[in-house]
Amino acid sequence: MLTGDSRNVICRIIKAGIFDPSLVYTFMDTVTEYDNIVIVNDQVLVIEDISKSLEWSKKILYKFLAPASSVEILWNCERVDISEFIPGLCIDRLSEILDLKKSLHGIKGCFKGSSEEEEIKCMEDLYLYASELLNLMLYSLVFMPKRYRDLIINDIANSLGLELGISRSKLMQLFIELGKRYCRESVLEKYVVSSNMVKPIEEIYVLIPRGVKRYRLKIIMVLADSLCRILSCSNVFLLISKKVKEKTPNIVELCMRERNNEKTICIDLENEDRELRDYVSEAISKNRNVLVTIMGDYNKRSLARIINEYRGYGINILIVPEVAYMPKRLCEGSRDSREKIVNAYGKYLMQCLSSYMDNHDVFWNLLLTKSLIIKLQDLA
Amino acid sequence: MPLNWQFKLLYEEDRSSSSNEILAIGFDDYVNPKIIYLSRKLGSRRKIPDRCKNLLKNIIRLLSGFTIEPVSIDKLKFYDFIRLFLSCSFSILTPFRYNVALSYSKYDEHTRVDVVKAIHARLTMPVSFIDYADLSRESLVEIYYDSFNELLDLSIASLIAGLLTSITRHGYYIRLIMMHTNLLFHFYTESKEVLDMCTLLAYDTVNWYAKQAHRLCEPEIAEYHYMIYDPGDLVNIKVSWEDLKEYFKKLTSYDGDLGKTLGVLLEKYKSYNNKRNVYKIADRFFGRLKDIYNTVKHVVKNEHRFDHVVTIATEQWSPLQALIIGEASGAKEITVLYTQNTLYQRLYENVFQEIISKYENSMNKKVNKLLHDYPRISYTFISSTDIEYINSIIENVIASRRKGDTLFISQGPIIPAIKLYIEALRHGEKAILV
Repeated sequence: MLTGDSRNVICRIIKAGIFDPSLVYTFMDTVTEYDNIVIVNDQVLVIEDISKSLEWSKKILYKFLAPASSVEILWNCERVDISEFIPGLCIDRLSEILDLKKSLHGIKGCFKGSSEEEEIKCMEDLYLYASELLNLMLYSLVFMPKRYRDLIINDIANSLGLELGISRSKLMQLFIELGKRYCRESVLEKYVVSSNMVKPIEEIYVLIPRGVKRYRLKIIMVLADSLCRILSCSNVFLLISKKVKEKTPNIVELCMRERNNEKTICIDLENEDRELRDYVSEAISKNRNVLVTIMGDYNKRSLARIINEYRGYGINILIVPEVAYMPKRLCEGSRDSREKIVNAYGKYLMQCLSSYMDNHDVFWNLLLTKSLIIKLQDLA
Repeated sequence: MPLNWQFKLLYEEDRSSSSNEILAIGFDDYVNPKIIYLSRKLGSRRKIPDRCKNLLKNIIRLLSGFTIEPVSIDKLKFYDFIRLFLSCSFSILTPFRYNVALSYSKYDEHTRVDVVKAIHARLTMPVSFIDYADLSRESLVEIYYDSFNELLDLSIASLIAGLLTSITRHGYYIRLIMMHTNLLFHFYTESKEVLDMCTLLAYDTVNWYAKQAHRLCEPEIAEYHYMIYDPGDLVNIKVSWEDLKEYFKKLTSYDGDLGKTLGVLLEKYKSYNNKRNVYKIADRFFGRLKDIYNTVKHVVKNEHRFDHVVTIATEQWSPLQALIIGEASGAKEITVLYTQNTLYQRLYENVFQEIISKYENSMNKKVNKLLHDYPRISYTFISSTDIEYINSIIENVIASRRKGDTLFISQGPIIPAIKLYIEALRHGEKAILV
């Protein structure tokens, strides 16, 4: 039986979607989603809510993930009894097995220590502002032995500048700190960014990364067009370097074919660095405010040259990742309380942003939680 | 089709015996995964695990993607080992894929309960069987396991993990960091065994891995799209075992920094008309490290040596990269920011640190030199997409460094790399973006 201050020895993480950490470049869907991860004295117990008869198959999935170090799983069979389909331990209510009847509110959330609704809202904030930290922490909790989990917890604490005391659970201290930092009431409002931040932009230069083929090119064009529309720019230049052509020889022709308006211009760069600088220099000489956009990745030496040559000028650099983890409610609207709360959104975030084309503030707010903007003017 | 054995770990005490393998790795074609043969001597009865428990422990750590920390491994029975190796290949979270093979063994007594259990298990588990004739063929590299130390244990474990990687992007980079680590061990130990292991991993990458990767088509090949080099491109580069071995052997004939040696040797091979393919391959595997060394060295030449380096781990982050950054910058301490994508590299480097630190009072001059040359490393977690979090971490990292003493080497995931570079410049610090 658990005794003492339950707030310090036991808590639960609700609706934990866990992604494979090694697939950041390809951000696939979650490898697993657990309804409740219960932390008991720094040990982990998964409690799955069974809502549909098909969910017995989850048990097989869990065996595939890490067969040798499977976490303990209990099944909350309020609606369907898993043991009718596959051997499994059903519990009627979480409180019965954990003997928490005396506790007023059952098991508290790990981050806010509050109601289920507030805790889910906090998880959404974490997926918005510190998604990869949260994912790594959840991954280490469920899949890694204590030795490596402790290393990760220490790294995260080190990142946050936290001194974790040894008299209390390091894990609990970290949970509480994350709740405090990222789940404040005002946090969403604080980072609302107006589209005025990067206005007025006259021209957008999009640096096409190596490895882009037709599918990605089309999506890049959609995002570039959207940015241009929102910023009321006059032209979008898609700059295709020699290295991009080496990997996708027909990329320039594809670009010409796929562009869907006169504003979009495909530029075939023979000498990447020189020509890129020519374009930027010309824009500067005409006092134009330009936005250089990087989609996914780009040659860092070329970027270093632009940054160093144009410090102090009206050049803005926007870097958009191809995919990011984001709260489902923000990207897809209403939330069904039984569904998962996080997804990986691709298409250079357009999978999430496309529904906000008429609401520029929300569009920018969401875009800039996952994309970096740099104003070289501020770097004089 | 007969199996092509690449690597055999042999039991010293049974040198005269016809089958003294502890484990062996081979392949039968370029379509199916590698095969790892596990000897029945694994298990407590013959006490092999007791003799090489550190080696087996490291193999399981690496193959499980650090999801298993195998303690008391010497107490495991043979079928425990089979299950462990199977589960590491089976798990979708590990970057390894291989089939497990056992030899047929004749049991005179088949009514014993443990024998019945073993026979039944081998009929129901997804394992292959090979006969002794197949097993007895020679392999490219054979190492007798007798009095190995922990450095060589990690070197062998790294080779085994490298040979068994899956044909994914992650798998390719794990293979590369294992190759880099063995190159470092080769440079510092000049061991004949490590030279063979270096050669084998490079040779296997060109001759087996590249063929596997080359046959991939969409959508499986999509993982390689953003890589600077597609591993499948190596398939057209022909190189002999002897030429590769000669290349690695030459590394130890130069004095000075390992980073400088890598560069000098690459330049030499670039100029040899009859060794162009060795150059192309070596440049693919070590070119990035040479570039980092030269870029940092250039900065140091124009400025001064630095006490500290802050960098971001890339998929090529390894003990070798840490050493080379230390050599080029003069820094004795490195702060490494890593994303979840490089978690494996971060944990692997930690195992390396832990093992070399055991040699602190060693009488071995070469290992002492490695300990002296290797920088102290601390890790900080960063994100590749969460801007709010990235901003706060980078502000903290820059604020915590003493002004002018630190070199910022920005590389890897583009958002944190650009942010680190810009903020370092803004604070008047020396920064490079590579």
